[in-house]
Amino acid sequence: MRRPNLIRISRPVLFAAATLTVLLSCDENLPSGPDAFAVRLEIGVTSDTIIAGDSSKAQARAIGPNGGLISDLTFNWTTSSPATLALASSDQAAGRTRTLIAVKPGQSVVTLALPDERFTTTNATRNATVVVAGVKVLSSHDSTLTAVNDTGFAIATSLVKNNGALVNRASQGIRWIHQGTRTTVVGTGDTIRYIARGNGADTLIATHDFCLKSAKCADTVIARVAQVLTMSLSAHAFQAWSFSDSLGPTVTLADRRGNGLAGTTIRLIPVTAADSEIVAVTPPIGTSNPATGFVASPRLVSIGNGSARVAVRAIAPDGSTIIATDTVTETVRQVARRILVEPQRAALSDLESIPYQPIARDARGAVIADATVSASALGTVLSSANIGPNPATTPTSVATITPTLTGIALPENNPEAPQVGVTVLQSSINLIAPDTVKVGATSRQVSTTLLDSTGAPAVGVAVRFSTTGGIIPAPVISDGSGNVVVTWVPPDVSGTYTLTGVRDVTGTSPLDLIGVVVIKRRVVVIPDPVNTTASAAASIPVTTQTNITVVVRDVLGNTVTSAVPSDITVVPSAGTVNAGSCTNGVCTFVYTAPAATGGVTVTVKVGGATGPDVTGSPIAINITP
Amino acid sequence: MIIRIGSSTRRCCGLALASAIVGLCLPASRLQAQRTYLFERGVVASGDWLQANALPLDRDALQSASAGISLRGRGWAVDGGWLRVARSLSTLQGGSLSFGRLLPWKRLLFIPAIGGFVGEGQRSVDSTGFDFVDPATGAIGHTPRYSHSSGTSVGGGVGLTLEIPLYRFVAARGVAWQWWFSGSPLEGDRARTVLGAGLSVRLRGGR
Repeated sequence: MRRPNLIRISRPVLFAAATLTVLLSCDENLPSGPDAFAVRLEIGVTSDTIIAGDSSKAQARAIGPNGGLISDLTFNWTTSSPATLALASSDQAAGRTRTLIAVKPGQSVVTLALPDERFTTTNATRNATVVVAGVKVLSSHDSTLTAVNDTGFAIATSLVKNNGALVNRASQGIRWIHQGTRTTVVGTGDTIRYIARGNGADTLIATHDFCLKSAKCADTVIARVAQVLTMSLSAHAFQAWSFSDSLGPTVTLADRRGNGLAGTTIRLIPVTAADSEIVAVTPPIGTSNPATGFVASPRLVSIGNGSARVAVRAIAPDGSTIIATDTVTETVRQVARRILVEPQRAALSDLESIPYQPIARDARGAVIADATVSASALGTVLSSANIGPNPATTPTSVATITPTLTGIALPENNPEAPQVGVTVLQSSINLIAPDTVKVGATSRQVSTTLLDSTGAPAVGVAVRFSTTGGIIPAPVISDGSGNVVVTWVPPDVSGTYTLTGVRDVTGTSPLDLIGVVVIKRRVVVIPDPVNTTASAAASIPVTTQTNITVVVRDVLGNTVTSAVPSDITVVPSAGTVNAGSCTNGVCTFVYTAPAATGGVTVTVKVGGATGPDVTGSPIAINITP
Repeated sequence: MIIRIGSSTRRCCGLALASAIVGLCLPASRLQAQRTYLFERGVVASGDWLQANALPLDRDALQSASAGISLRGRGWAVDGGWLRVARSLSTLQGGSLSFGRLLPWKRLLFIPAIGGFVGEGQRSVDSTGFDFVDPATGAIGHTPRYSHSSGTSVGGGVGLTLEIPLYRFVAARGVAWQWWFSGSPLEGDRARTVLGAGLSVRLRGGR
């Protein structure tokens, strides 16, 4: 009995214990978490742009999952560039709002962080830009530099906020834009230097990379460069002692700093027409150097004696604007360096004459027209302006002519001129006695020597010929010694012929054209007296007539068909002879016997009364009753 | 935070509570058929629902309850059993032992008692939630964030039980206890007042 009761009691207890065990194992479902909330951070500002010196409130907002603004959070604020945008230290510790202080123009990223483990979020960022409220040029807006390398300053400032008012503040990052090439700009920041490089105008624009949109964000400076050039001459008076002297001032056209201007030119202009007779003007000589202001200038070339005033004008690069004007004076006075008689060398037959000219030349060989030069001859006749003619009896010889200088061209009469002794060049003339050639053998070699104005052999100078008969020789060029040799062949016709040789000249003075005849050679062509025969009757009565026959022949025995009665000179010792006539080289003269009887001789000559007798001469004629 | 209570959890807890009460009562009804005297001696089993002063329980869990065996005689009662005190954000459950004086008055039996408790305490605290403002309405709201902790808890309390015999070996009970619990999870929230009602079943002994 007892055992069933125990079973009956313990069964519900066990059942209850089992039930409690089940109860204890039930899930309590007590809430836990969540671990974190996803929130979104926002930065609220009135504007992302803040004027430097100003401040702005920024508000932190954390948006919860349900869109509500989460309260009582502590935020962290940072800026990427505290030097540009700083955070005020006086804001509340929780950082719900922070004051952004615009320190300096630029950009900075404001970052808002929520350092709270309850929340998962991404930092909020906002790009804040600190700007200036305008740019202003403090220096002159338009300035002019008057010399290259002159320096000017341009000063600009930025407008920023200070206690609510706009004020100037330096070093806020002014940026300059340089337009143009007339200046170079040195430096950066508020103040820059611009250095003049060339004439013209440049524009300098002060601006700022961070400037309030509606503000005046640029200001302009016009930097002009206008060189003030001053012309200076190395000398204002010049003295030339020779023609062709090139003189002129060294001209500097430069600004205050000694810099020239490329493209400027100098012109020399004789003031009057008379001045132009004294000096000529060359093209510019040399190369201009703008770096030093030196300007290639023309030169004055002396071309006449006297004093000339010449205007010096500096011309701008445009070719017409006159920058500066001055005058110079040049006095030209030729002083003799040599005196001579032209021609200095000549071949002259006795009976001929050639012009001569005593000449004084200056240091450059120019003829001094107003020089007083006289000439004295030895061994020749000077007649008027000619050498010769000399008597036919003058033997072949060398005559000399010596010049003498007096007057204004003497160096001693010009004390300021170089006192160089005057060189005297004598003229030597080869005098040639009368020359007779026979028909058939008329060729002659004629020579002379050419000298230049200094007395040195003139090499390569042509002598051109003319003749009174026969073939004109071709021009001959002087050799290395100045010698000229020409072969002249007069015609095979009895007569007198002259060969004239004239040298080329290079001088421009009229006097240069005098004294250029260097050869004047004369020959007389006669039949050959040996081969020419004369014959007549041996006896004729008084007062009757007979023919004297002359057969004119050359040196080869050929009949000279061109013979004329004048080629033959017939002279009787008594009686008369007519003028004669010639036919095909046979000349016939009619002789009339005198009234008296007796022996008569008739002389027959060629080459004139002094020529040789022909064969058969004298002819003996017996005059009979 | 929204506490999600699953249907399986709800079924589990309900079934367990019902089974405990039925399990304690049904065998006794078959064993004894006695008159309705006060349960002043013998062994009495009891079960109480203790959630009356903490409704609703805002989570899917077994509500506060207790079950125990009481040995009564000579004017004294010694109870031992299981106690569960459930609140929306905390739970205490474990074994309890109490000593009470049986004070009959007419057909009522008053049992003032003191008791002790050893068990486990669990608590969730909204310590890291946050407040928010609705930008549209300006209304202030709060979003909780709970931290859960658990640990051993020892407690003590005083209480008063009133029993009214209903039928032979069954009596109705009214229970009021004030408990204090130790343990770090209950820091700052150690007192629990429980009110409830239940049934007592005399298992053996008595008239």
